[in-house]
Amino acid sequence: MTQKENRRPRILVGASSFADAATALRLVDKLATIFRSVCGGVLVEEESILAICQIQDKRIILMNGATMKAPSRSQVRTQLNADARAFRQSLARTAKATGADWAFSQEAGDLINIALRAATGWDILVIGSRYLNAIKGKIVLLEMLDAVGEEMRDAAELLARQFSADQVVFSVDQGKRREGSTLSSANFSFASLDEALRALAQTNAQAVLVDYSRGPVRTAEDISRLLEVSHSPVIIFGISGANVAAGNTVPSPYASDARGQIREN
Amino acid sequence: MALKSTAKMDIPAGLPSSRLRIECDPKSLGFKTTASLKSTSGLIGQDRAIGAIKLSAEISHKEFNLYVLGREGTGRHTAVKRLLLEAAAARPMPCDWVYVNNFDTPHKPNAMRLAPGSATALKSAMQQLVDDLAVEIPALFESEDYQTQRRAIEEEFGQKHEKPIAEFADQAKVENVALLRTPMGFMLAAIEDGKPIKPEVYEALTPEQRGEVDAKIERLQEHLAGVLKQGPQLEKEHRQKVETLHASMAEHAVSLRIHEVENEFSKEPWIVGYLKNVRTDMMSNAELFLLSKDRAKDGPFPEVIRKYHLDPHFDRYAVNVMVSHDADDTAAAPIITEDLPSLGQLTGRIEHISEMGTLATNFTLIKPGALHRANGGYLVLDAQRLLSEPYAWEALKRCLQSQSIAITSLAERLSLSPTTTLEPDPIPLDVRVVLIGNGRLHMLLQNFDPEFGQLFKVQADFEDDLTRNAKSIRALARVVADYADQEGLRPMTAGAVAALLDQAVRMADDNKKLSLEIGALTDVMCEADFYAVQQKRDIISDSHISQAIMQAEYRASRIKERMQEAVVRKTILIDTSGTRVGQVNGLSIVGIGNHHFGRSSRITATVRLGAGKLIDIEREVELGGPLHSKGVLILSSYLASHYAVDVPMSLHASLVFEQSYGGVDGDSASSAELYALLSALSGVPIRQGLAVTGSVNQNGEVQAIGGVNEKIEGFFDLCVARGLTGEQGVLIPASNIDHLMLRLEVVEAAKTGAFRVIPIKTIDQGVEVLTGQKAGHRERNGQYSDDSINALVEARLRAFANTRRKYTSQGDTNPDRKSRR
Repeated sequence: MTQKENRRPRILVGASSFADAATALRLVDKLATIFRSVCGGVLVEEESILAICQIQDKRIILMNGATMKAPSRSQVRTQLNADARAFRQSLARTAKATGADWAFSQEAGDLINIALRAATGWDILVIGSRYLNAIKGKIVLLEMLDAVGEEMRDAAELLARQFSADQVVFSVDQGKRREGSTLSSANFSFASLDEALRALAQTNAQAVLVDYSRGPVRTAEDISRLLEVSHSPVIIFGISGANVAAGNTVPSPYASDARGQIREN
Repeated sequence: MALKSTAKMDIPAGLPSSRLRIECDPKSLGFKTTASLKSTSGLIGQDRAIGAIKLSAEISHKEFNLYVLGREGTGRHTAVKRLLLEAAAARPMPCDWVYVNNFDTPHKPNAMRLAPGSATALKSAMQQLVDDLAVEIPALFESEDYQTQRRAIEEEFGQKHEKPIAEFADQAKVENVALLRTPMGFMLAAIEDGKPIKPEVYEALTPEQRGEVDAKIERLQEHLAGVLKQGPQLEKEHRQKVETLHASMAEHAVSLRIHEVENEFSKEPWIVGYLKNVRTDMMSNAELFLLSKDRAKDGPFPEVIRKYHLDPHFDRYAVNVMVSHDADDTAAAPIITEDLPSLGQLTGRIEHISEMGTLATNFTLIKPGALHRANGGYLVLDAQRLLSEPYAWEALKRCLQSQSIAITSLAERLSLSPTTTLEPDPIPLDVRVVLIGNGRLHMLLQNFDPEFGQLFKVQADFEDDLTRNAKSIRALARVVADYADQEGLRPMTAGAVAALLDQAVRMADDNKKLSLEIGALTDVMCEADFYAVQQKRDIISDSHISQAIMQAEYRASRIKERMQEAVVRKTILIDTSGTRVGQVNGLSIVGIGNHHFGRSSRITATVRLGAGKLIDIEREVELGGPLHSKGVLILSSYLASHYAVDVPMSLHASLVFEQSYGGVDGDSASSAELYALLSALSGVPIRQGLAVTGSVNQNGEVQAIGGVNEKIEGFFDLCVARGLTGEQGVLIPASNIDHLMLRLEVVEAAKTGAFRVIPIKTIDQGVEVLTGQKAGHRERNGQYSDDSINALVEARLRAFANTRRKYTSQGDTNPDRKSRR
């Protein structure tokens, strides 16, 4: 791998399975092509799932509605290892298409917390989540009124264009919406994040874009709730400026002040 | 018996010079130059062939196709073209034919019959239709109307799909159950202290508590499974709604535009039916127009003027015009001449294009053949070219028999093409085929192809020549003048035309005929025109014609001159003066390409006692053809029946063409061979200044031969080279007098008595001229008159018979064997 330029948008993908990561990588692929981004990936073994699998007679509901006996802890581990390989290969393919560097790591714990912690030093965090249907949904921009970054808007427009998808804006105004302003069929305004999430839960989304530094999503808990209702990947901007947690586990290839260690897998 | 010393008879004077060349009088032509002549039909003396062509061109019954046979340059092509033009004008203009997509079975394109002139109009209309819709349909899909409806469908789907899941999530939360995402699917777990329950905590629960949790989890699992199971059905409904929306959006634009095309072609039921299929297909494939819109952004031209129909995706709506006629054209039925009648050029072909390394095709790659273009009219083909093209003749017959044009490629016929191909609808065929060829080919087809007679019921047999009279001379003069005009040549003087007609007589080999090989005469005119241009003359005169004829002769006479040189230098031994026993100058024709010239050959005969055997050395060494052998056998029979018939033929004779190293055929030298034999038997020498041509029958009558002019001129040239003595000439059959059209030099020599052409009717006449002795005839006592050649011959034969009898009485019946002892 060679370093071609010092400053490129850095996109980190976090997921707890390859099925989830694949949806995120599909978005990253488009973004990376345009932004010539540097890519990273982190696959998180969720402890809670490994623990639940130990409970006898647990069942899994598949996406088509069928049920099956939950796998054992070791089976889950095996599955996750296979997912890690697939994740890594897909990530490498995406990076190769842009000639950019890439990095990958596999960790255990809570997906949101680990992803946020790992994203320190990265510009964009994409948390993967598989779709519940095959119908292409909308590109949803979840923003604070009057606090939208240009980068996020550009990305939303780009994705909408690339996937020929509708773009909708969910604005959280906290009751401050200016008088006289009107809402179109693509712009919705909500008084609170909870209201916005309730509406989002009934929306077929293809991706949800949020700005971590500008809100309304500002905590790991918010991201968790967002992920729960969107049933789609969540693209988080403003992550590098947020003081999420210490200890970066996925070194960014081009950190702001020093080059990270790049692990080629 | 020896010939007494008697005075030799003089050599006859021969034919007067006026009989050697009967020229056309320029004054009889009735014009001074061809510039004053009006154009003519260009056809004379071909009434039989013209009648046949007209019959074939006008008769409505099938299979009256035409075979035109005749020699090259007799005006067959011109006649066919002119007569077919006349017939075509009276026939209706045929329909246009197009191939269009078969939307149900794309590999079987549909053929459509359209009114004349409609094909290109339909093609343009369909191109315009595609161009319009490629702009309008994307605009429709960008409209607020569409977006609103589409959003409503999306919202409905979101409501139906996402709402139950959201409600389930809320319910699970209320019941303190977590919905976990695993690599395989969803998993439900009870919540303890805000987090999914841990195994050890779960195990620590009482059985009742565990049962309660398990029951709750199981109920929610069933609920979630039920929600997820609805997903595929909801997706299907969503897709159907979107498709219905697209179809309804497209339907409006498509119907509007298709209706415009329908109005334009409302009188064409086939088109109306086709447009219904197009409408259905366009509505169900509206996304094609959306894709084209996306691609349009890549091009350099503004969308509004972009030719969307050129996009291969829209080939399915293309109209492939196989044959189209201009409705305003005054010419009616088409007349097509195909110079390269290969299978593909004849029946059309299906081309392929390379796509991703494989060969692909579609109905737009069907190319028409000559049969398509000639459909409803006439197709003119060269028979020899047609028969030399693989499978072309078979394909033509198949099309004529089935009265339809089915396109089959050669590769397909030979099973060489593994790629996909098409089965286009056969197009009904109504065509009159005219084959132009020679008589030999016609005979071969008649004899060896039983289908030929069924399909080509009419033959137009072109005459080679025309009877010469004042009327025909004037008519031919007009024809050649017309050809000169067509070729853009300068006008000709009457003298030039007369000289050209003299050449026509010469080409006919008959001074009572005129050759109809207009092509050859045109060649002479073209060359004469060239010389006129060189001499900066505005008109072609007789000297130019003569120069052209002489130059053509000169160009072709290298071999002739070399052979004559060999004779003059005595490499080849030919005497042109003096007398020799058993030796005569025969004449033959040498053909090199289409140029023929006369050649002299020394023929010698030897005789001796034998058993009645006449040896033709040419035949013995297989250099003599069957006709030559026949001539020798005839003269053998002549000897046997005319001399000493009451005694056994006891002659052993041999005949040979001296220094002949090639084959000899024809019987034109049989009289010369007989003269040599009679000279050898009689011991009377033959005048070597004379040459002989003519065949002979068993009664001793000299019969006509071919190439008499060339033969005379060949010997004349030799004599001129050696020096004319005044005692030189050629003996020709009297029946060949009408064929004389000799060169002017020969005529001039005859006029001065330096050379003579002597007509001969019988062998007796000939032998008298050659030997200067009387031939003699049988008198009342049954004997030939004394001192005659015949008497000497008979006496010699009797002497042989007596000698042979003497040998026989000594016990040996074979004098040959005896003599060898």
